[in-house]
Amino acid sequence: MIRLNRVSKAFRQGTLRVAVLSDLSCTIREGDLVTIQGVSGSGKSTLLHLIGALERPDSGSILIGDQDISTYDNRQAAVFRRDSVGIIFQFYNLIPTLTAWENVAMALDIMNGGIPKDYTRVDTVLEQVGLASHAHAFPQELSGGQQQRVAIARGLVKHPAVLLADEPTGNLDEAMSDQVMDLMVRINEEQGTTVLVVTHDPSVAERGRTRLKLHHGVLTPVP
Amino acid sequence: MVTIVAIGVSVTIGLYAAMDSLNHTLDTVYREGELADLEIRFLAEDRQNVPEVRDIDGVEEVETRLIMPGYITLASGRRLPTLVYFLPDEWPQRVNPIRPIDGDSFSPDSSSWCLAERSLAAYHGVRKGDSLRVQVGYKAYEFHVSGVAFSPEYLMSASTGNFLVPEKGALAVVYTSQNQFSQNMGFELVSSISFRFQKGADAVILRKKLESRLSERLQILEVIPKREQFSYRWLSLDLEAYAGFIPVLIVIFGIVGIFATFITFTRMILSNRRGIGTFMALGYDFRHLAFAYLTGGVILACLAFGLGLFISFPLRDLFMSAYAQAIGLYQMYPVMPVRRVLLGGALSFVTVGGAVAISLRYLSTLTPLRALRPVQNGGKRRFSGNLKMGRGFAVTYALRNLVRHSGLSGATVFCIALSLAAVMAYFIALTSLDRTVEGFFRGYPWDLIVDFHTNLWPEDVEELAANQPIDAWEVRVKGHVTFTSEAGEYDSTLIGVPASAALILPPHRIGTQPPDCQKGEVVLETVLARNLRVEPGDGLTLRSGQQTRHVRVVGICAGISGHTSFSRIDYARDVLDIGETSSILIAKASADVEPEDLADRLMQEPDVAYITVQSNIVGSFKALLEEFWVILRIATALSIMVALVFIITTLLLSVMERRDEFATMKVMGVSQGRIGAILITEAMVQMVLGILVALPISIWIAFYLAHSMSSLWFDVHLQPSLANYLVVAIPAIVLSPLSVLPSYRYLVSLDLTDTIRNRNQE
Repeated sequence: MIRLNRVSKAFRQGTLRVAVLSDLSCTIREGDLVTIQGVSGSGKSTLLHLIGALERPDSGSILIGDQDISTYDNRQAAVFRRDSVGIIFQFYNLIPTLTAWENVAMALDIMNGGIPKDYTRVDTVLEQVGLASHAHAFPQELSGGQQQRVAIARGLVKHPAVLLADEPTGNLDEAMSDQVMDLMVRINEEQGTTVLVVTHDPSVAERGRTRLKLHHGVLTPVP
Repeated sequence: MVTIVAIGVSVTIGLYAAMDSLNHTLDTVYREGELADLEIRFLAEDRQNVPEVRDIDGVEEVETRLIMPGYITLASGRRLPTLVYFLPDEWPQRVNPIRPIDGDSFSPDSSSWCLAERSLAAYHGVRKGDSLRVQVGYKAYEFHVSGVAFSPEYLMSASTGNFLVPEKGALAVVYTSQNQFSQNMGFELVSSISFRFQKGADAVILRKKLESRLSERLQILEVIPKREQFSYRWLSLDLEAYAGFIPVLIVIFGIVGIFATFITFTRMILSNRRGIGTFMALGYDFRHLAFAYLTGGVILACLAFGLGLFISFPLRDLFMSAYAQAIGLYQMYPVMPVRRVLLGGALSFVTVGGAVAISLRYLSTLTPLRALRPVQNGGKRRFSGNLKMGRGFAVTYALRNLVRHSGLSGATVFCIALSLAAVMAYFIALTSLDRTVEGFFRGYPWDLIVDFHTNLWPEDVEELAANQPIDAWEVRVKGHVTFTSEAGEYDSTLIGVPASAALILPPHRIGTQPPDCQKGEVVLETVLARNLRVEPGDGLTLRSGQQTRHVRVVGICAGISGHTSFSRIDYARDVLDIGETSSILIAKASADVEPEDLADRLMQEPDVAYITVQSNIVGSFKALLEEFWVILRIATALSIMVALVFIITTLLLSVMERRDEFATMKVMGVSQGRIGAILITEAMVQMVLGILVALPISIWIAFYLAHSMSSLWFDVHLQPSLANYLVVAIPAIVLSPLSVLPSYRYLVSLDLTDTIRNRNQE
């Protein structure tokens, strides 16, 4: 369960202070697949960043399970992101000098140093995203869709409670977008992972079981 | 980049200015100290019998004195060789004046007072008010020390007579009134005349006239023009060697500066590709863009020059004081010649200008479309498969990144290698010099060299040796001669060596060794041969007293005096006209006696003037090298600093380019510790690779340095040791993690969401 309680966030642009989210509250059920739609500047990425502990709210609380991540310091936030959340970006953000296998394995490798890692899990998730045969390819040798699937595998390999995706199809053509969203839906259904996708693309937003729209800092359900 | 170029500028200006300051100090002290232009020493004679020379044109001042060798018995029981200068009544002296620096001068009437030369105070603790007992021959003089004095003749710490090596405190010098001696003798005895010439006088012609006039009534023993005066000659030779070391440093810092500037500007152009493409699309051509970068280059060159000039002042003072302390100079006159400042400025502008020009070649190849097209800079097949995740993501990522930016990494490694190789080479060269010198002295079985007051007949030498615990002994003769070739006239100390000599011989270089010389043949020391521009087989004119002979050079030997020549002993006796007498005894002590103890016993003999003990001369040479070790330690710190600054610069550039990758890692939860580990791995790998590349380069540079030293002193055989490398490598490796601090701070302060947003806007 993800619960946002009266969350506010503003940014400073020059001398102006621009409120992006004001007293926003919402609840996301465990195992749900939620899409949040909104135009550029609506605050949907900020919302995702807050849930991913990339930023702290100016006020309000964010509960992931029973933990209030809005009070985390930088170190606690890093541990939270490392152990509990998978994050997927529009531009994949793979490390170009690591192969697909290594990019995925990195997420395991950075977890608690003393714990023995099960690297067979890397092969499993690459199999799940359909890239077992490209495991040793470098990112630039893969298509955009394949790179995004590597990014998804990287987010999944550590069994996160929540998978956050920021415009995951924003850089892909329609066919590739469909493949990626199919994968998200399958992961949500088969593994019960809570998936939260923010997008400006209505066709992607339609794939959510719960669909929300963010407009002027207010989150409203889409029927 | 500015710091790296500035260090090169500061080293160039600082080292040359230090050398100029030392030369200026030498000139100033000798000029203000009114050092004699010429000194002629002769067998002591009644002053009444010394020919008048003031009437010779060009002679400005004349000063006579009596110099007598003796010894002082130190509190430890050791006997310290001592020269007593009996000075005329006029005070202050007109040539080589003695200046009290503590206490007072003595009155000519106060015959029991003396001034102690400053080495006696500095190294043996003699102070104003002390009593000194000086044994001269059979007579003991009791003095009260009226003060401590400085004389330009002893600018350097007093030295031994047989090797051009200053030995701190090895010789005591005491100045007293001539009345001391004349009262005992009933007449005024003198043994030295010093001259100061009028400005513009021809020193060579004057010298000939003076020698000719004085030899009418005096038996001349030695003629010492200013350039042959011990401290003047030693400092000149030493500074020549010192100057030989500087160009290597300038070349290395210049290359490193060019690389640093080239990398900086190339990265600037690469990171501004899109901006450049936009300007080109708007109609700006290469000349406009090149002008903009060149303007930036000029500003950076000015900054580097300004910073370098600022640093060069303390650097000059540091080198100068280290040198002065090592050799015992107590007075310094620092200068900052304009030509050295201009040289530093030229280095800055040539380095930056050259590097910017090379960088602009890439800019000239850009078209608007090419500039605007994104650059693919990612993984490559060539490094897949070898690096596995098993060693940890941080190490894998760090190593892969170095391979990805192979050009930048290679340049960084090369520059680190160059800056470290330079100091490694100096360590190798100095260690080799140290070992070569020690090997030479230890390679022969001699323990002592004993100089006599006056030449002794064979039976006297035999008697002296027979009464001492000596296992083996040989004699030499020594005297002043002058060689003339087309290159000019040069003074030399001619040493006659017996055919059977085995206790010590000069280090052989080319041709015949002295014992194998025939009549009319001489072996010259390298520097003397170089000055005379002669090689084995060439002829020379040799002058001794009023006699002139034609001799042939048959060999060249190494040495550190720069003016010694050798021949067979019988020929040398003939040349010097000294019959069968000998000037020097070389001895090997019996197994049951320490050489120092034997030296003490021999010092009691009235005929013995001075003793050189092998272990002391080796120790003195090692102490002298200390000046270079001090300078080298400073240079090591600078070189490591350059290497670190280079890593700081390139790592920061590389990290800024990989900002998104690090942001992704932080988003994924990679700890700051792991990010630090990535950076430290990259820095340390580059440093270690730099050190490995530095090893062969350092040998190559060391060969050059050894060659430079060989041309002045000994043939230096390279004998690198592990310590030569470790003394540079260990601090460099230990300090290399510090070079990641700027990059680490940059990454720690990275705003994740801003970075991600900017990435998404690209």
